[in-house]
Amino acid sequence: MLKNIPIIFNLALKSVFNNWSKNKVIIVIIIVSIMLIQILLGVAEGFRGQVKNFVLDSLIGNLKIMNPQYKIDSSIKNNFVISEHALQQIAAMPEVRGLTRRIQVPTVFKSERNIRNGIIVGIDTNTEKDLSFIGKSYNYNNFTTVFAGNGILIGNELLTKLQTEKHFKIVASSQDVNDKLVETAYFINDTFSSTLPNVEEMFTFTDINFVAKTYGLGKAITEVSIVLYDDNTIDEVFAKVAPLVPHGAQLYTWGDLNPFFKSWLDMMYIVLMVFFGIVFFAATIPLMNTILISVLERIHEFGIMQALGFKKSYLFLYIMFEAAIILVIGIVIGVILGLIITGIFSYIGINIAPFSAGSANIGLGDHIYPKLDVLSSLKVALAMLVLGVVASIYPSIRAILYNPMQALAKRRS
Amino acid sequence: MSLIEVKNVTKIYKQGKIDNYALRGVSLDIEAGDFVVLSGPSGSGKSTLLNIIGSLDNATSGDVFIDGNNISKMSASALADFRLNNMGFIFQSYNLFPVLTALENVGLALELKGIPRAEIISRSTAALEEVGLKDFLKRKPNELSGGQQQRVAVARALVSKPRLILGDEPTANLDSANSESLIDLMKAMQDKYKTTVILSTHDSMVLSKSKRVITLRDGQVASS
Repeated sequence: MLKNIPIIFNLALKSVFNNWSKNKVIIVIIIVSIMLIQILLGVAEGFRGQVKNFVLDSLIGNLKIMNPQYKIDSSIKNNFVISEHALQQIAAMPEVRGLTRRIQVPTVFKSERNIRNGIIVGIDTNTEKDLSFIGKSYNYNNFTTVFAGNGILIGNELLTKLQTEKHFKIVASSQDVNDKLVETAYFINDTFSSTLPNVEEMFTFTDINFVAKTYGLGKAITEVSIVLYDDNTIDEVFAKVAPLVPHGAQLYTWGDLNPFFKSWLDMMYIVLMVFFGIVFFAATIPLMNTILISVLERIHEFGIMQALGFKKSYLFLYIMFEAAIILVIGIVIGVILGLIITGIFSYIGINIAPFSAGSANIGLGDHIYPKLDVLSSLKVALAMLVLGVVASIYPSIRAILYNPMQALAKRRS
Repeated sequence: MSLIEVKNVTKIYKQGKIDNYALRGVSLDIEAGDFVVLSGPSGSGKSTLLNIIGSLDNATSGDVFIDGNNISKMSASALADFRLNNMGFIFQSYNLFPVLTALENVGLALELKGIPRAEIISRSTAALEEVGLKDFLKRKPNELSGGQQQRVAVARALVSKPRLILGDEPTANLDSANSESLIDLMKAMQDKYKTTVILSTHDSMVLSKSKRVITLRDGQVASS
C-alpha cells in the first residue's frame, strides 16, 4: 500500500488537471468560501479589536491595580501606595508593554459662565505615552509645557460646556484625602479631542505630582494601569503580578472593570464562531455534492482501474488525494486573495459613517479596519481542509461500492 | 491440469422479483497457451462468462479455478492482486486513461507491481514498439485513432506478461482492416509469449482465425 502512494498521488494530480473544466467549479466554490470567510473574519476581528482597544485605552489597560473601595466610592481617600521596586518588577515582565501610575480626582469645574462635573486625572508624563487614548492621541512632547504652572489639558466638549476658551482660568473644586474641600485654579493651556464627546467632557489631565501635592496624597495613588503586548497573556501576567500588589490594593482585569463590554465581546465571539460554523457547514454541503457528482460521473474510470489491479483502498486514496489537491489549490488561492482584500480594507477601512453616531459609543469611529493575522488565516485554511477532506469521504466510499463489472457497466460521462 | 476450469457456473441477474439467467451451469476447461473465442448471439452469456473468468464479476454459484486457484472464493483485495499479477484486459471501448500518455497507460500496471522506473519505461516502450506505436509514446488517447488506442490496450495487456488475456469484443469498434490487423497482432503475441487468450466476439473474421470456438446459447455451452 505505502509503496503505491506516490503512484496514486501522481495519478490523482494528473487527473485533477486533466479534468480541469469540472474541477474548476469545485475550486471556485472553495476560493469564494475561504475568501468570504476570511474577509468576514477580518471584519469581525477588526470590529472586536477596535472595541476592545477602545476599552483598554479608556484609562484602563489590560490590568489595573487599585484600592477595592475605589470601585465603590471613587474618592481619593481610597488610595494605595506601591513601591518603586514592585513597579520595576512588573515593568520588567516580558509580556508587559508598559505601566503608568495615575490619580483620578472627582471634581467640579467652574468657569465664569458655567459649572460641570468631571475628573482630574493626574498622569505620569514619563510613562503615559502610548498606554491610553490621551497618551496616544495627544502630542506627548507637549505634556510638560501644558502642565507647567497649574496648567491643565481639557477636552473640547468640556471647553464648550464651560463656555470658556483656551488660556482662560477655571476653578476645580475637589475633596482632598481628608475630605476637606480644595479649590484650585488651573490654566487651560490646551485642549484634546476624542471620538467620544463624553470622554472630552469627563476627563481633564494634569501632572500627577501636582495632583498628589494639591490633594495631599503624598506618595499614594489611585491606580496603576498595566498594558500588555498581547491580551491573550493576561491570565499568565495576572498570576505573576498578583503577589506584587501591595496591602490595601487589588489587581483587576479589564473585564472585571468593564463586565458589560467583556460579556458583550465574549458573546460576540460565540456568535461569530457559531456563524462561521454555519458558513463552513453551508460551504461543505455543495462541496460534497459537487465531489459526489464528479465521482459518480467517473465510476466507469474506477472500473478500469479495478480491472487493472487497483484495490478498493487504492481507489479510496486516489479520490481523497484528488479532493485534497483540489482543496489545497482552492485554499491557497482563497487565502491569498482573502489576505490581499482584507489587507486593502485594513488600510483604507470600511466606511460606517452613516452609523457613526451610534458606533462611536463603542469606539468604532467612522471606519472599521479589518484585521486578519496569518495564524487566523491558517486556522481558517486548516478548518476548510479538514472539512473538505471529511466531505470527500462519502463520495470516496460511494466510488468503491461497485465491483469492477458494475463500475465498467456505467457509461463514461 | 487445465489453466482454467469453469465448474457449473450459474449467473442470475435479479430484476425485481424476476430471475434472469445469464449463465446456466456452465462448465468448461481451457488449456494454457490456447487462443479461444467465446461466440454466440447477443444475450447468450459470453461477456458474462468472460467477466467471471476475469474476476470482474461474481458467479451466483459454481467455481472458477485459474491455475488451481479458486477465484470464486477470493476477497476483493486478493482478486485485485490476482488480476494485477495474472491477467490483462482488452475492452471493446479501449478504456485507456485519458489523463495518461500511451507510455504511461502501458506502464501503469508495472508501476503498481513496484517495478523500477527505468525498467517500466524500457518494457512499456518495447511493448508499444511491438504493436507498431513506437512513434506515439507521448500521445494521449484523444490524440490516437480507435485502432491505435486498441493497440495501446493490447500493449497494456501484454506488458506485464500475464498468463491470461481477456478481450471483450475487442474488434467491435474497429473497421475490418484494423480488426484483422489487431487479431493478427494478438495471435503473434500469443505465439511469442505463450499467453492464454480468451476473446468474446461474433465477428466472423475473428472466429475464422481461432483454433477453438466455444459457442454459448441461452447461457449454456452449445458447442466447445
